[in-house]
Amino acid sequence: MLHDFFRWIQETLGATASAESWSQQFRGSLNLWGITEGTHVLTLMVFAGSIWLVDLRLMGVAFKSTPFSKLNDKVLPYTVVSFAVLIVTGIALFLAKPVDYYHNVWFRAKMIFLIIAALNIFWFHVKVQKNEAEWDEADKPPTSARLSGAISLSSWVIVIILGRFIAYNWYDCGKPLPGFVNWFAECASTPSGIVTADAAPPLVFPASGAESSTSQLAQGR
Amino acid sequence: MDFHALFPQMQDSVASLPNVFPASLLKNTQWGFAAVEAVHLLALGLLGGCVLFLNLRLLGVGVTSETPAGVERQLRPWLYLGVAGVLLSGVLIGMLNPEKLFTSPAFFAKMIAMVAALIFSFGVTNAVASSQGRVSPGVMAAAIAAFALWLWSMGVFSLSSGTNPGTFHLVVAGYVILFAFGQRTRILALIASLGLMLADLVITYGVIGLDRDYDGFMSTTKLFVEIAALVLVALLGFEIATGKQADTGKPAKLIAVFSILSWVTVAAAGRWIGLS
Repeated sequence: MLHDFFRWIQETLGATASAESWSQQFRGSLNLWGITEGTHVLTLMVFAGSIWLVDLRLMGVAFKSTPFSKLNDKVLPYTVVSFAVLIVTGIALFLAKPVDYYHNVWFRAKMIFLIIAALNIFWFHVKVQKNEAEWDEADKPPTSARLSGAISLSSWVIVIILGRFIAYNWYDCGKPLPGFVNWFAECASTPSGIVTADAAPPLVFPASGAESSTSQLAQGR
Repeated sequence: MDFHALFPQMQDSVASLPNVFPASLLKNTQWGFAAVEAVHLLALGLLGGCVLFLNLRLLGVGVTSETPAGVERQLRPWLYLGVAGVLLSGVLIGMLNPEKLFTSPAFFAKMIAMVAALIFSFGVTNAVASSQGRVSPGVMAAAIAAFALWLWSMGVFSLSSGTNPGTFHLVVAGYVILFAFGQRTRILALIASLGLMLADLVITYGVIGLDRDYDGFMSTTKLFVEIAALVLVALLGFEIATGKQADTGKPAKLIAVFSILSWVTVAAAGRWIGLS
């Protein structure tokens, strides 16, 4: 169902007899897609940098002499605003190729880790922060706070790695893929369908380094 | 301007870089390049946080519960880690993809901006923060050298065809900095930035349109960025000249603004290597 909805967005929404869909127009626009993507990446620096500083304080490895609440109060506005920009630009970028992203293994994995990061924030606010006054000034916060900081830090690290991997087409539907990947990406509902790894010869990489790195770049960009 | 235009005789040496250690270990792997790119992004995130919060402190905002020297001391190991990660992964990315970078104006702008940013971070802002906002003559000389390099990188970035739309990020970053620390001009900065962006979008995409007048589209966009940059310079100048005196002086604030902008130029030019 979602596949059909995203396909409608990608191919039909906004299309007229003389114009492509809004999604296709955005993707093919001069500068607008590039500026949106560039804004997404640059804002990521502010978001990741700010949330990691707070995570490191929670873990008791940075800003140990600063009360957690003081650091958090000062840094949080930057984290929240940059996250809002990330969401807006991220949705815009998704809508440029919704069907492709919907069936992208890395995109799906990224969404899972975004949910883990969100659940961790919820757990932190509901449980861990309840007795913040008791450990606010401690060099080394209690185990639950340190664990929450570690989950947050590692979740965002993984989200960034997976986000970068979305650009690579190693596991795109239509390629020979392991059964789990075909299932996870719902390749059966794509036009290319399921191609299992056993049905094709193994990948062979060219001997020349320049060719190899160039072809990987071509896949990634 | 690019490295090929300056050193055309190096073309063959540059082309052989993927065969040189350590790139030679990664060139035939499926994951190598992507993994190094991911490390580059992660290191940029860490570096971005450190640069931002140290310079915001010099501007009198951010982690104000600590002195500038305290913030610098606390951030120092993470800044070193971020810079080391960016440089090491950046060298590997460059070695694996040398010919594209050799002829890229965006890469040239990035390298010049990076020298400026490194001077700011390791020769200027660290010293200014350690001395609680005071700027010695030697540090001011280093800041002027870094500023000149940054201007050069901005010249290459904004005047090269294909990369110049990326200057949008620099102008927006300037407005965001102004909004973060400004007192008298904060609302003006918000109105000016949003108004100019909206007007640019409506006129370029709505009125001119891509299919009718490409040259008109590009020149209109350029005009809007120039107006936005001029308004930004005026607002920044007014804010720093008349803003409330915090525990850091006007020279320290000016240095902090350009230190952030230098690192933003490094990141923006890096992204436009791929986009241009």
